[in-house]
Amino acid sequence: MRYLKIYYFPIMCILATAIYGAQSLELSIPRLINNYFNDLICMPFVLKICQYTVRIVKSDSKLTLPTSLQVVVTLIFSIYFEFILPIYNPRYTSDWVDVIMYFLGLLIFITIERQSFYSKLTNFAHSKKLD
Amino acid sequence: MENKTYRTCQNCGTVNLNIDYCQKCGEIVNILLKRKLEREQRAIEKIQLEKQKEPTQFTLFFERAKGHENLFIRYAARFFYSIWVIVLAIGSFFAILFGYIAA
Repeated sequence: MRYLKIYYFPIMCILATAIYGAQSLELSIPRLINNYFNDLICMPFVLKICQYTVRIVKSDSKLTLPTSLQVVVTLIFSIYFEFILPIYNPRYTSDWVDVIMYFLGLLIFITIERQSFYSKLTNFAHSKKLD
Repeated sequence: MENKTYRTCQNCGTVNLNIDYCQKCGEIVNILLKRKLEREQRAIEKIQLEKQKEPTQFTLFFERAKGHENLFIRYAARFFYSIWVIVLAIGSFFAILFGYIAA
């Protein structure tokens, strides 16, 4: 889990770039990956950058985003891309599966970034020893 | 049947039965316990290092502005320094960026 937490973001970026490149070059990609993979990794990508920025701004490397905030950001993305943009730009189409992908991506982010109960207990015990 | 664990002390060579510390020189003989203590020590040192880390200039600026005597500056700092505003600003930026790239 520790290595997943460290490496999932660069791996995601590489995969997203590869898929975008393949789409630009009009290469043949499986339909599911072509249509939904980027929507799936959109929320982990954005939330990871937000979390990193907030940790630098607040000078706290253990800070996590509130779950309600993560849900609100996902909702905003869903409404913007699946409801507002299709009205103003014919290039975009409303798709309820994309909304599911956004929330699935949010779940993936929460699962990976969640501090395990054991490590919370360990950190608490060690910080108590220092006091 | 009692479990017997013989451990040889790395320091003085004494063979110890069912104990964690050498009965002759007091050195730790239980390797598992030694590793566990080293892990805990590393975790404590990591926490101490985190505590000693100085906040960035950016953080200090906003922390000072949050306590400013001017009401406008105080509430503006609290607004822009809140996690919700920072995250929503970054999220909006990416939403517009992705919309522009995909279009």
